Amino acid sequence: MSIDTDRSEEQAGAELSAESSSQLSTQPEPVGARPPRPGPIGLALRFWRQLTSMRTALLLLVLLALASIPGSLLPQRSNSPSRVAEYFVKHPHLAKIFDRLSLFDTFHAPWFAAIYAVLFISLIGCVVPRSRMHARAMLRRPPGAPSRFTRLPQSATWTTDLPAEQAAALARASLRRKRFRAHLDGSTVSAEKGYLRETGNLLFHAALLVLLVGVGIGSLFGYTGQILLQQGESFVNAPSSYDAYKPGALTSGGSLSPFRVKLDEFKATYESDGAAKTFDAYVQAAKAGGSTRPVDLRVNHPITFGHAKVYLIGHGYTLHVVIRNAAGQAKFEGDVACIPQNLTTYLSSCVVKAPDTGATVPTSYTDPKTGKVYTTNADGSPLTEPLQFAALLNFAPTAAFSPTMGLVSTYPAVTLPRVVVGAFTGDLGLDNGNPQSVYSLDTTNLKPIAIPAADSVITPGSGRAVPLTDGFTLDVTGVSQYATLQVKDDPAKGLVLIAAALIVIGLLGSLRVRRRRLWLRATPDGTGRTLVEVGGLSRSDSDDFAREFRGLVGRLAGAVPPAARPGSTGAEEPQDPEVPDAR
Amino acid sequence: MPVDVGFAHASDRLLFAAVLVYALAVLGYAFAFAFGRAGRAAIRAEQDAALRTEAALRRTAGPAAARAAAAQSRVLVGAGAPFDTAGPGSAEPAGPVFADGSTLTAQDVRPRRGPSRSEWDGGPPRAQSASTSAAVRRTAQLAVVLTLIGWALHVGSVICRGFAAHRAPWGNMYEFSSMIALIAVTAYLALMVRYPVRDLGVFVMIPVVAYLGVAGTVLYVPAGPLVPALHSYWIVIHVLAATSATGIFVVSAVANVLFLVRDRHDRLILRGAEPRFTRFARALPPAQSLDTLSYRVCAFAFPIWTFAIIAGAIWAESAWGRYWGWDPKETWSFITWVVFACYLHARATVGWRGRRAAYLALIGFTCFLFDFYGVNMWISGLHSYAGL
Repeated sequence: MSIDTDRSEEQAGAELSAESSSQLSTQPEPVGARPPRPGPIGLALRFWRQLTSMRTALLLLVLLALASIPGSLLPQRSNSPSRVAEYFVKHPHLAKIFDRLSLFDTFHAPWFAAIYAVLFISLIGCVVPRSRMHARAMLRRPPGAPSRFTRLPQSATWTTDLPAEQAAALARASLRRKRFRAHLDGSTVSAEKGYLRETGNLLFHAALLVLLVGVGIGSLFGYTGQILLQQGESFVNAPSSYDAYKPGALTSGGSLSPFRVKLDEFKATYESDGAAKTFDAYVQAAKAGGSTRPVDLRVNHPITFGHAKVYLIGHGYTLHVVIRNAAGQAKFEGDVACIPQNLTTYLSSCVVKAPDTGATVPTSYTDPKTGKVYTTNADGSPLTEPLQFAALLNFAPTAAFSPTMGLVSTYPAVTLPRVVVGAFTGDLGLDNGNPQSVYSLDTTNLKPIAIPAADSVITPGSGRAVPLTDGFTLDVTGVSQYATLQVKDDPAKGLVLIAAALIVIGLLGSLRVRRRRLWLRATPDGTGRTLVEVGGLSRSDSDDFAREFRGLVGRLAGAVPPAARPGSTGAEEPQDPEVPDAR
Repeated sequence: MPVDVGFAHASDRLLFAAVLVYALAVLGYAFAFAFGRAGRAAIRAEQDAALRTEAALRRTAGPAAARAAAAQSRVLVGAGAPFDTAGPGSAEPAGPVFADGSTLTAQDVRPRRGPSRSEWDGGPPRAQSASTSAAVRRTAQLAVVLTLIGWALHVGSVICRGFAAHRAPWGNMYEFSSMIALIAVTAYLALMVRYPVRDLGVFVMIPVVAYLGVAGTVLYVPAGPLVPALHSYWIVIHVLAATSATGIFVVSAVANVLFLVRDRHDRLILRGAEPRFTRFARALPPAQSLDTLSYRVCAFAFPIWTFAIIAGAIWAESAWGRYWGWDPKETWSFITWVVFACYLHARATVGWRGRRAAYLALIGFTCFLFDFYGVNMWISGLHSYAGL
């Protein structure tokens, strides 16, 4: 990738006016100017030049922008897997095609990676040789003066009474004070300024590479974990503690920074319109071997343990559920975390799974071969299975009932809590070894329990329970809150930040600094006086250079004072009509 | 803390007053643009003539000859300029003589920043004001003064909003929009110090007034507190940088549109066609000046935009636990950044400069608008709380 505005400015300049400027350049010659090399090496070289050309870079940048668009318009697995699933339900055919194209994982898709990989190869192919060239240019003197200054975009002449050598030396000192790199060769001064432009340019592109490397290291060696902590629960940083744990490809599970976090209390406050005001998770945090300290964990204020950080990323309600048998004994009791369905009103749903009630119920068995149905064992005793219950609870912290949608919530805080209970019985499938989520319920093999509508709504803590089967009842005795924490460890974060800072610094250099060259030649004019010629050339955005040049000439004329009465001088030198004021 | 109703009302009224004063300024700029054309038209008729000559030469003698002739005519016109005291035959100057035959002036020793009127107009220096009537000039000056007054009211509105809500006044769509408009006006006023862009006021201020109108009606929300995710000092840094970059890009986009209009006109003239709206196009500055202007403004805003994205990433790291997660807002910021990177590269690529680059910049600006509004309206993501 060619990364600089200079070269093309010059190409454009050369195209527009005289061909002089390209000869004065230290830029690489245009690609086409080299004789083509035959054979496979020549082919590879040509391919490499194509790849590292500005046009290719431009095309790849456009492609990169276009490739990102589906990632923002379609739901992405990494951000909202539930919405991806929803999309599959809504548009099953389209979703399958999109999935084939990795459009639900756009930014991890092979074709996306291919675009930026080629872009970065192209970038390397440009940064490396240009850095070498720039280093050489910085070590070398500014290039020597051209023979005819009038061919330069800017030039001026005057005569002075000073001897040529002295005039040149004075001019050089004057230019140095203006922070030009000025070199004196006899009575000719070559000066250049604005090297920071190319430095910034290269810095910017090199920092982009470092940034990508940092992002790569972070995703290879870091990890992300999420954990739902109920009030009073604590958690120790280990892969097995997490509800969801995503390690990088090279993360070792034993290297997680050791710490413990206990949630004492979660507190949320809301505006009167339901907008969230504050979220505070009061936790006890302890490093391994360190003392425990109380921390108010808030959004924007994570706890740091080494390069791992603990964030508060969500919260929700917990229902205390009790299932009792006919004798009134609690057979299931536990805090059930509810997943918010609506993040504004906190209408939530929770799943209760009670696989062990201590009771059994008669069942039957159908032989898959013969189709015969058995209701007794071989010994004639009735065939039974353990009685299992499952319930889907809908919880509204501030309840209202809508004729179309049933239970809704109107405010996220608990002011009028109601739970609507839907219950099931049958084999929950918890013993067959297949993993299941505790937050979802597959009801395909379950039998719904008919509950009269009037009985299915309960107020937590009211003591009025919902009747299930076989004399069992389900009661919600209390509401509390949980907090969702995220732990993120990214060992390369510092590197990425430094690269980002260098990107901005480099950009400022490459966009704000202008690079220009100036030459001055002092020659005895044969009448005892000295003819001073000055020529200048801007190597970047040149629109202001004419003005700057006039200012510089004014300055130089101050250092090398013009003779009071010039004789016949260069002022009469014919103007070169081919050289326009190269703006 | 409850909303300070007094400040909230003051903010709303000040914005209304600002829009009103801006609207008056638009009238002034429009008047000056419409009736000040006569002065500029003289210069530009000359430019058209030069273009036609060049076109004719190109047909008969080839492009190289045409370029040379055009260059020569420019030099000759320059040499005949009234500021030039060192014509051949006159007293020999004591100081340096430049390639175009001119000598140093007091202005050169202490050069002003930004192009002079003649550089901007691409013609020889001349007394511009002589051909513009005093009434037109006064109106234009009045429009600038009105813009300044409107700007002060606008600043007052934003500050009051901050006091009303006890926070940085850029927490929702309405507040962003007001900020972006304010930055656009600020950028235009700052530009006027260096560039002779007073004539273009109407093109900057009409979008600003329309934009503020939409912001104050459709997007308006009363002052209020923010959700906890926004309780961070990064809101000051990130949103200020993002709105600043956008506001400055507005000015660049305006210059780009004008460039395309003028460029199309010039190309048609070169082809020998008689373009429509020629009087309008001729009243615009030369394509070259507009192109440079939009590029410079863009090159100024691009690092700010880069910084805004980085600041957003730092904030995201502390709020959401990752610095980059391809949230729709992040994705569109990235797309915008890449398109502008394309534009900057295109400016440096032969065959892409000028018209194609200008289209790229306008696509980039459209991406900006989508990033700021479309993402919030149509795509759900982590930035959705910005509300609409």
